[in-house]
This record gives sequence, C-alpha cells and structure tokens, in this order.
Amino acid sequence: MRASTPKPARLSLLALALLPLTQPAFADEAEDRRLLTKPDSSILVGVGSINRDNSRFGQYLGLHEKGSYGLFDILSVTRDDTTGTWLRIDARNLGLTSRDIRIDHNRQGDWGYFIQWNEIPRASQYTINTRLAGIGSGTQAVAGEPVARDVRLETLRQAVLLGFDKHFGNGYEAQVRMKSEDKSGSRLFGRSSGDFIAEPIDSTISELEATLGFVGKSFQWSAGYNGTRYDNHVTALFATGGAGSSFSPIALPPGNQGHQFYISGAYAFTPATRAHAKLSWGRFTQDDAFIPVPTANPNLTGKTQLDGRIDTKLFSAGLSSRLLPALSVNANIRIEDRDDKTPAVRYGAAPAAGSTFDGLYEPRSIGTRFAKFEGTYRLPAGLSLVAALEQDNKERFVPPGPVVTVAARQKSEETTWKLEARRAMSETLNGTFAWHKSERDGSPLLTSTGFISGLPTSNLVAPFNVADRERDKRKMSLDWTPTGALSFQLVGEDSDDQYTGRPMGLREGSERTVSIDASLALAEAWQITAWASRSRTSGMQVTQTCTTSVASVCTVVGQVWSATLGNVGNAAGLSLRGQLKTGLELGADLQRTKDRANFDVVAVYPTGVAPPPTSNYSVSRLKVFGRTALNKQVSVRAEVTHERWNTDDWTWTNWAFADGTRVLENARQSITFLGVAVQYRF
Amino acid sequence: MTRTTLLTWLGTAALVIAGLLVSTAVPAQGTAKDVVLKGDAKCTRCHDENEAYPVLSIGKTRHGTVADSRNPTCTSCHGESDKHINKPSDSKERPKPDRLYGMRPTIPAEQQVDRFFGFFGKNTATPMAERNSACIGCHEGGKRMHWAGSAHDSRDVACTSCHQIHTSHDKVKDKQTQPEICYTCHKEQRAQMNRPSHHPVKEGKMTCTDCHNPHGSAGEKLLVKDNVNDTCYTCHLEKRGPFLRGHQPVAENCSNCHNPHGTTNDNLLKVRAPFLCTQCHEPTSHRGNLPGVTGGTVGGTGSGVSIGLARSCLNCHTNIHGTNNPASITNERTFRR
Repeated sequence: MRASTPKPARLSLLALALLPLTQPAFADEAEDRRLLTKPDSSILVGVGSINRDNSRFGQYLGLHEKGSYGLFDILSVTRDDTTGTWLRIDARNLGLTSRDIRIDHNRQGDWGYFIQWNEIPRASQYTINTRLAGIGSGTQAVAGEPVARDVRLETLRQAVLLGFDKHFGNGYEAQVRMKSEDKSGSRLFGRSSGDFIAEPIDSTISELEATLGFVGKSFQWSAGYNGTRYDNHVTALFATGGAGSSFSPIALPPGNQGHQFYISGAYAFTPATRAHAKLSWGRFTQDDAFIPVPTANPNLTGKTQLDGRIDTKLFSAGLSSRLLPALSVNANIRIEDRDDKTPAVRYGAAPAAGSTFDGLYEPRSIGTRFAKFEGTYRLPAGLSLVAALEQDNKERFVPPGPVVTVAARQKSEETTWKLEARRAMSETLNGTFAWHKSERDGSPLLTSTGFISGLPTSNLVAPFNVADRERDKRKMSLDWTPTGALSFQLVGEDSDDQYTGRPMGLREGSERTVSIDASLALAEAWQITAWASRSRTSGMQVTQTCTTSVASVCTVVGQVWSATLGNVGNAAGLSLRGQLKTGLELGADLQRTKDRANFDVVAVYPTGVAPPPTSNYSVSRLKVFGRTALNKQVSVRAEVTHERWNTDDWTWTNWAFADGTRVLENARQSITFLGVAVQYRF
Repeated sequence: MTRTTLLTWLGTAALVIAGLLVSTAVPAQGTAKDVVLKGDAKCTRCHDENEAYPVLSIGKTRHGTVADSRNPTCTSCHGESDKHINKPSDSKERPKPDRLYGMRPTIPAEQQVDRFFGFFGKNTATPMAERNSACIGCHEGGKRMHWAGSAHDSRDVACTSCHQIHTSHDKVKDKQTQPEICYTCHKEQRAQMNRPSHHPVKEGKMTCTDCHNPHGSAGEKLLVKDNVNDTCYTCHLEKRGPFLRGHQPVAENCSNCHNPHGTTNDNLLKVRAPFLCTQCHEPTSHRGNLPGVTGGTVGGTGSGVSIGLARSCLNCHTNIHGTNNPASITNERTFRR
C-alpha cells in the first residue's frame, strides 16, 4: 500500500497521437530519400492489457495489476540542416508509472540542454497480511488495525534531471548536470521480538555536477564539482504495541551531504604513448539532529548530532605505450584515502566486564593502494600474449583499544598475476584464454578482547573480506564465424577460492559459467539466434553452536557444523526476426531460466527443527510480436507475451510475525500481456 | 485522481507541449548536392540502401549533420580507398576499402536481434588501433579521458565492437537495448541479471552505463564513480552516513554483501542470512545456532525458524547498514533500533 503512487494513465493522449494519421503519406522518390537520410520520428499509441495481478513481470514497469493500460511513446527528432540544431523528444511508457520523458535541444558542437523526467516504480513481490496501522508514516501501531488486511508495499522514484552543455569553440567546453529524485513508499522491515513494521520512505536525493574541460590535439583536461545531498523527511519510526515496544523509536537513515572537487587530464606524448590522471578531494558530512530517545543517556549531554565527517582523496594515474610495434605496456596506480574525521566520543553507557564494546564511536577509515603493470606482446600468426601483475593493498583504521567485536585486520595485501593469450586464428576465428592467480594476506588478525577483563574472547573467524585467500581463475572464449550468416560464441569461466587463517567462517568458494551463443541469418530478411548458459557458484563455511558462553567466550561447544551453499542457474533463449513479405515483420523471443539454491548443512539438528531445503525458481517467457505497414508511415504493431513464474522458496512459507503478520508470495504466476498499437513515422 | 497523479500528468503534458512548440520553431532543413556528406557521391553511387553495405542512414545521425564542419566524410574513416573505387584490371575481386571496422552488413542494425558475438562478425585486416584512432581522433577527453590502457582498450575492444555508426538507432545508446551489447562478452552478468533479485536492467529502467563507464574510469571495474560505494550512493545515498554506529563491511564495500548484477536472494544479497553473517561473526551466544524451517520460536534466537526464516538475523538487526540512534539501552551497536 503506498498512497502516493500515481495510477497508470489510460489512453488520455490517444486523440492527440492519432492526429497525424489523418495526413496523407508521400510516396515519391524524394520522400524515400528523405526517410533514408533524415532523422526518424514516430508516435506510438495503443492499448495493452494484462490478465492477472502479478508481482514479478510488472514489478518495475507499473504492470503488476490486472487491467488495461495506455501504450504511448513519442520519438520526435528534428534537425535544422543549415545550423545543425537538433531537437529530440523521447517519451516512453507515458501510460505507465515507469514513464520516461527526455527533451534534448542542442546545436551540434556549440550548445545544448536537456530536461528529463523519469519514474521507476517497484512493487514488492510479497503480499503482506497484517494488522499494522500507520503504514507509510513514521508512527505505526503493531496490531493497531482490528482486522488483518492484505497490503502490497511499493516504492516510486521520481526524478527530474537538467543538463546544460556549451562548447566554446577553442577546445573548451562546460557542462552542468542537476538531478532531484524523490523516493516515496514503504518497504519490508521489522524489529526485535518478532514484530512486523514497515519502513516509511520519503526522501530526496539531489545532485549537482559542473565541469569545465579542454580538448586539445594531445592534451585534454576537465575540472569539476560534484555536490550531493540526501534529505530524509522521516528520520524516526515510532512503533507502539507488540512484543518489542521497547525498540522504539527506530532511527531511519539520517540526511547527509557531500562536496567533491576533481581534476582529470590526459596527455599524448606520442600517438603511441598516452598518460591520464585524476585527482579528487571530497568532504562528506552528516549532521542530522539526533532522534529523541526514550531513556536519558548521560553520555549524550551537550550532543545534538554526530558531527560526522568523512574526507576523501584520490590520485589515479595511468600510462600506456606501444614501445615496439609488437610490444605494448600499461601501468596504473590508484591511491585512495577515506578518512573518518567524526569525533570519536563515547555514546554508550558504561560497559560491563567482558563486554566487547566500549561505547566509543568507531571510525571507518580506509586507504587503498592499487598498482597494475601489464604488457602485451604480439607474436606472428595473430597471437597476442598478455602478462599482468596487480597489487591491491588496503589499510583500515582499527581503534587502539583492546575491543573489536569481530576479527579486524589493519592491512590486507592482495597480489594477482594474470596471463592471457589471444589469437585471431583466421578471418573467422578468435580465441582467448586467461589465467588469473591471486593471493591475499596481510597484517595479523587482531584478537577480540573483553573491554574491562582484557581477556581474549572468541577468535575463530577471519571475516571473508579480509581473510587470507588464494584464488585461481580461468577464462576462455571462442568466436567463430564460419560464414557471413552463421556465428558461434563459446565462453567459459571458472574460479576457485581457498580461505585460511582461522578455523571457522568461509573456507572455500567456486564459480563456473559456460555459455554458448549462435546466430544464423536464414535469409537476408530472416535471422535466428539462440543461447544457453549454465552457471554454478558454491561456498563452504564452518561454524559452531555454543551451549554456554561467558563474557563472549564459548565455554561449552555444542557441535561444529558446516554448510555448503550452492546456486545453479540454467538459462536459454531463442529469438527469431523476419520479414514475411514487404511490410510485414514478425518476431519471437523465447526464454527459460531456472535457478536452484542449495543449503547443504552438515549438522545434527535438534528434534523438531528441519534444515533448510533446496529452493527453485523458474521463469518461462514467450513474446511474439509483429508489425504490418499500412503505408510507408503508418504501421500497426501487436505483441503477446506469456510469462510463467514458479518458485518453492521457503523463506516466508512457515513464518508468522509475533503479531500474526504473514508475508505471502504467489508462488505460481502466469500472466499474459496483449498489446496493440499504431505507429506513425514521420 | 490523487494530487500527485494530477501533478505528474500536468508535468508530462507541459514537457510534451513545450517540446512540440520548440520543434515548430526549428527552421526547415536545407539540401545538399551529395546524398548526405560532402563528397560522398563516390561511395553512394554504389552503396545505396539496396546494396550489401548500405550507408545512407548515416544521414540520420550526428555524423550526418552537414552543418557541423567537424564531421568526418566517408574517406575520413574508411580512407581514400582508390583501389576499391577503381578496381585494378588485374584483380579478380574488388579490393576492400582501406579501413574496415568489422560488422555483419546484411542486416540493418534496427532489425538485428542481438549481437551475441565477441567482435561482431569477421575480423578485418585493419588493426584495432587504427580502427579506434579514427574515432578517438575526434572523441577525446570528457568521459573518454581514461580510455588509454583501460580494460576494453587493452583487450582490443574496438569502438565499433559496441557502437554502430551508420544508424540512427545505436543499440548501445538506448537503455532498452544496451544490455544486449554488453552481454556480447559479459555472459556471467547476463545470467545474473535474469535471477529473481536484480536491478531493473532487463525492464529497461537502468542501464549498464548507469554504473560503468566502458570508456575507462579512474576507479575500479570501470565504475562511473571512483569506487564501488560512491557508485551505489548515486541512487542509495541513504547508505552513506556516516552513522553513529556503522557496520564496517558496509562502509568498506557494498559488494562485500551484495551482487549488483543479480542473485536468488532478496535485496541482491550474495548469500542469505544467517550464512552471510556468520562469515564474519563469531559463533558465540546465538550466532552459531542452526537455521531451520521448523521449530524454534519467532522472536527468539535459538535454532529453528527465528534465524532460518523470514529475514533471519535481519528480523531483529534491521538497521544493518548503520544507525544514527543515540540511545543507550542495551547493545546499541547491534543495529536493532
């Protein structure tokens, strides 16, 4: 339920769009040439109908409710050939809540501006049966409605974009871009103790970017400012009632703002040796007033906001050169610092002995040092060999005290070797093979210790983003075009990860993808393409149950258990395009995807507790469409799409919130969309 | 009709009417001796729309704007091609033009289904650097500042691998069709974009270039911003904070937990909770308990549904990206209020 979502328009501009149909069509040679060489314009007007409510097919299109919708697109492109002045109006989906309108007006090589209106709806895939009152607002009451009703949570993004361009004629150019995007609606939320609540969304993202640049024969630069601002119009959610009423209010994202300046440049020392660089500085602040708290916090005295501040710096540079006709080299470095300058003051109450938390603000500073060197050597017979070495180092700020709640690592260093061979084996055959091997390690993993006791707590897991890791990755591709009408492409990728350093957490991971594509031009006016892919990812991790823990140390272990999580995705597509006769075009797209998620837990489960089973998801979609030309300018288009969506995902099946709220998904969705439209081309 | 709906439609109507009004103010087009470009007659005398290599539709494009004196001619890109134009008497076959860009010419771009092929048809004898130099000679600077040495440049991706020049509808510049071009090489991303949880790319509401700059960037993975998080903040600015209590992997890299190209888990999570969470968090207290689809207590922390179903750990730890709540009641760092 989202009161602010506009309903789709129904054919409201149909009459306007049909006006051009009353005009006679030209059929002489000059008109033929004009149609071939001058910009295209068209108006499309029609009606579409979908036969059932759905939560997948129309999720982002505004087509999730059964009914009829106006189909209305405008593409108007005019060019004044004497001045090179363009006016382009591109309006799509005007009859839907996914509408997008952009007007560009520019004189080529001189000036230009545009204005754009863009909407992105999102309807949740779930129907929620709940008694929650106040959905969409910052004040909600758990079980506040006398009777549960079905609600669908939706969000809508509505953005206005403006842009201005000016070329000054001597290589200098200026550009301004502005965006203001409102996001409204609600999304699935919840809180401790098992209450259902819905996060209200009512916020605005604003962005301004202005750049001044120069483009010369061998030297180019640009300098600019990027300003961003986030305003949340609901910063706290007060939720009464329910089992978790003490968890109120809940803070919602605070507003923040950022200012960033940058300068980029590129220079060609010679036609074969070029360099580029970028420097940027940013300051990002967050000074939203704290939400009111129900219980006095003595540490808050005098503090009304965080005074959060992040300063960023970036230096990036690259040099590429063809040193010899057969040898090219390429070097890149990137130095990036994100300094958290937020005052590290104490917000929490005095911690108890054994606590892993001391109440201090924890800065999230991080620095990145990246360097890459790559060489390409071109051998005879179309063979190219590529070798590259990459070094990616990160340094994180870790508070000097003894407290970390999960293992931390100040420095991590990852080295990657890449070897690649590419060969153009003939005019019709290309092949590549690549092997990447990387190793990540770093400074010692810091141990977690109790705040007052100073004794080690649990230190069994190395977080996956900093853990020691070895990765092997291989890629291959083959493109074969035996004839001008027939082509094949085969792509394969696989990688293996091994994690070490601590006995638990993620231990290994793998990924495999194989894909084949084919295309055949049956005749000049008919073509068919087909593709199929299979991908599989897998990860194995280890943890343990803890029967008794004291001061964040597990003193009695229940059992050590592991889980291998896998995902297998199979997808295939078949497309046909053709011209049955002059003026009659037909096409069809058939696509089938099937995904399976496995949760292979190796453990002794308690009585009454069942492990998570496999989840399956499949989508079959057939789209058939055609266009018949009534004359050179008017055509009729028709489309039928049938989609079936199936899942046995168990995420919400046996779940009811403590207040009785149920989250339901229509596990079998079958919809048919029928659209008919008239297109006038001019 | 709600007020928002009314405002939306009034805005729509105003935009359309304004555009049409400005449209009528544009002067009538002129005529040129050549069909499209200056001096194109030596090419267009053969290459009309009925020939195997049709070229006239370049007139619909910005390259066909004759008023722009910067624009190239046919020979600017393809070379003078004298032997192609005047076939030597001792040659059985007509020599090819001096510079070719590799394409499947028999099907007009607008009618092509998808271009699934790495380098789009037959190789050409024209070296990649020479092909690209014809474009880069004019299209330098701006968003292409970091092209040299970028992933696409160093892997010999030609400008014409993605862009179609002789058409008004360059697929890679249309948000509805752009992914087809990118999937030509990026098959794994094509598979991921078809998964249940995905950004609205296949729906045509987002494009690959909303996040990536294929012409090179100063950041990693050809991202439009300097790093992953700054790119995500373009639309998800509420995650930027800084928060009074922040979550370390969130601040470091959104892709620690999310795969932006698509997953089978809600909210683009790489792995669903609690498995994702226990890849970092120590197995003390309830954190090592067994997720189940039966048993246990809603709102509890024991093995069973409380950590196996619904949002699992996030049932309670809802503010997982960080919270600005200054309360000090109990365990505030755990993102529950």
